Amino acid sequence: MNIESELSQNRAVLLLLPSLEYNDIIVDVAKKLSKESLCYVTLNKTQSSLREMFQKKKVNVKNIVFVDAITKSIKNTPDQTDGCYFVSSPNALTEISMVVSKISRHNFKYLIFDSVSNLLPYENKTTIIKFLSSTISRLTEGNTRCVFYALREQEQEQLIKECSMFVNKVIEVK
Amino acid sequence: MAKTIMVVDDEEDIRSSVKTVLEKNGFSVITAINGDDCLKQLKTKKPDLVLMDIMMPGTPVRDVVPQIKGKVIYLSVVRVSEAERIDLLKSKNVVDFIQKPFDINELVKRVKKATA
Repeated sequence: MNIESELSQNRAVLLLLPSLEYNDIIVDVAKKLSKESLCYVTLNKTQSSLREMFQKKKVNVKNIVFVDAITKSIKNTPDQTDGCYFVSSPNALTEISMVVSKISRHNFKYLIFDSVSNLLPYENKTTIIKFLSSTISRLTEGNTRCVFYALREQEQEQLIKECSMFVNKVIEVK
Repeated sequence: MAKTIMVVDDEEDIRSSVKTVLEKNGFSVITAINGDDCLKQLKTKKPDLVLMDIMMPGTPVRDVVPQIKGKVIYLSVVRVSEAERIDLLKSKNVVDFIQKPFDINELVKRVKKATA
């Protein structure tokens, strides 16, 4: 898969990832997209652990601004530091929306949302779909190209099906 | 007397599988569905160890753990950096940090160590 080429043709793509290769794939995609300005929304790792992982794999983290929905749940953290916005938890969809709105004004070339699957324990499918649809519209209006990750799992089939209505392409990564 | 472990996790599968494994290894197990449920139950129950998922709906664990008087082991599906892991272990009652998915034998070994 050539993610840059996919994003030159599609404003928003949904990548379905196998759980075993998940970390390798997210590093690979980040490495390619961080050649330009990139916003990385993380709902399953702290920004600090992502930085650690990316730096080991020579990803250009200087071009990445993180939105971290994990760290605040586990320790006291400011709302913002250099290169990172912290939101209170993965189910703080309003907060995430507000940060994404703020970020969209900075005209990031790419945004990665990692991942749709992590919203499932917290919110019902209807709320998730509404959130994703409004996020995608807002970002793509501002010309940011978006990558949404989801785990390729049977129990998430319905969510994936509904998400696929709001993106331009669904790519199953093998 | 069997040591009592409280398993706090919002995922039913994890609660029941950890409960089964620990009971097979001679522990008595109680469960809670999140941090709020854990604190409510701790008003009347005194487990020897709390196995706490680090990321659950409800009150965040950073506010729950300081209210627990006994020992706590974090179970985490969330990835944290090495520095953050060390930081989490600095809380006086947090005795271990186990990354999910975990090996069952390793979990039992670390629970035995924490309750020895």
